[in-house]
Amino acid sequence: MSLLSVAGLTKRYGGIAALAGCELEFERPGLYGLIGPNGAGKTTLFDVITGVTEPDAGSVRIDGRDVTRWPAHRLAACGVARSFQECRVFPEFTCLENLLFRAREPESEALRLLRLINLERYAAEPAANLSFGQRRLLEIVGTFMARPRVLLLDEPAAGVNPALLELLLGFIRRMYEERPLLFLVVEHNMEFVMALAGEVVVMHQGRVLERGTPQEVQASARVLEAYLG
Amino acid sequence: MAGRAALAGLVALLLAVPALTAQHPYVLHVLILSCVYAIPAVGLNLMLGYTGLVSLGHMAFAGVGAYTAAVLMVDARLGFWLALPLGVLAAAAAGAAVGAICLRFRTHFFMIVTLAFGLMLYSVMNNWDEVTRGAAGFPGIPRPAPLGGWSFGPLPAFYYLALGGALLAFTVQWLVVRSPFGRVLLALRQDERLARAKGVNAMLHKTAVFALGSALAGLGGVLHVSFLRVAAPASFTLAESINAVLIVIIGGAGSLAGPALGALLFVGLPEYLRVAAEWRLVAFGVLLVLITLFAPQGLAGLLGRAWRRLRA
Repeated sequence: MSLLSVAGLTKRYGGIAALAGCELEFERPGLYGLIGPNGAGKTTLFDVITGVTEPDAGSVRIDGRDVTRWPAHRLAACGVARSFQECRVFPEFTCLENLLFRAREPESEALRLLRLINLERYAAEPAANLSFGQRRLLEIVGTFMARPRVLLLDEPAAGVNPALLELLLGFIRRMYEERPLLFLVVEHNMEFVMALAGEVVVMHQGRVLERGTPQEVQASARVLEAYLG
Repeated sequence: MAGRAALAGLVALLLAVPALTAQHPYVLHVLILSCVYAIPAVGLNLMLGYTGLVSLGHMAFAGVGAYTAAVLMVDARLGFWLALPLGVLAAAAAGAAVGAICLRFRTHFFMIVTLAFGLMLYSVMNNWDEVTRGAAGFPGIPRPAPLGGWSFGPLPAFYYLALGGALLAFTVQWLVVRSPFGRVLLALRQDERLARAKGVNAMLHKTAVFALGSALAGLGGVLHVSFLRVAAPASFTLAESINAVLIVIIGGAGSLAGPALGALLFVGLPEYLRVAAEWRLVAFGVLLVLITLFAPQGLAGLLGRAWRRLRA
């Protein structure tokens, strides 16, 4: 039984098929990268898996259980956590309040995680006062507070400066060592995703085009063609 | 600590008002009306200020509570003390039912749908002659029956009733805001998509706050018509709903004291200035512009800043 699988997933926006019978399966926990040219359907796939968008056809299963069309809050309760491409935190809540909102982890864990990303001194500061990169880190730390089984990160590196990027990379690796869960990371920053992921999935035109180790994917002629059009 | 002492002092002062103003019953009249306006405003503050739901039909639910109590008291010969909670319950039920529909919409679409439901409920009050007595109003609503030898006919007694209602509303607001439910409301106002991704059933929580806000509107409505001894559709029009929004925003949306300050100003200012009620909207329009520009946290925000400066 696989941890997460989608079958025949289709989603159309007008005449455009963001997902066109997408098939994807993750048997084991791991750090997986999800890449593909713009419009490949990566974010739509995330939105369907996390209940933000309903698919036109196809199914989503978590631990073999059919969770297709479940609302976002039910999926969250069943262990699916995500971050957003546009970076979402509660601006008026302090960093600590952000982490403790609907958390399964205790406050001590929140403080430890804040320490790991050097935000401890901002614990009592409203999230609105952080820089964009710091807010991004806070958002990602927040996803761990729910003690998820499946974690989807949508472009965690976007807009984060190189110094924080290094911190973020170290943090995600460390979290994976501490609790091996299913990480699925959408990313345009190839360096980042190749350094992070053990396995990379390439999407193109709403389907999975290629799947393999970072080296295999980088060497694939089909992937190169998809990117260069 | 200083804040708690100030609050206790304020409550003591409010309790002493009838003794202090025995020569000027007019003051009590203004304060009773302020309470009656503040109670629905507390309900709207929970929705608008804390959850970000701008309803333009809020006072219609005050009307649901008021007319339910009126029918129960006059036609069914029920006592005030039974009709009051039933009126509140009816307003809450109407709020839950209407909320479940309106909350399928967001932002300005939500506002338009609440406005439409407000107008519909108003039309029912205005036209269902057999039950609501129509546009002429529903006369003969009694003041509350004496409770333990304490009659609510005289002005000071009714003042204590209205004040008790207002204190109850503000206590409910305080309890909600510091509860986990209140945290969820605040989260929904800031970012609903994120709250949902964190496991919040947004629809359920928003419907609950809509019902609670409507229940408080109903409480205010029942006290209002019992005070005036007549229920009139004119008390529950679109204009009154917009007034409630003004009271909340000018008082300070999302602040505990905001509805009290807003209602006091709304009722007291025109009385104090001795201008006709028609000028009230003009004055409040200007005030709204000034508040939006210079004090986005409303009067409560201004007072809070002054208080902190005083203590520093």
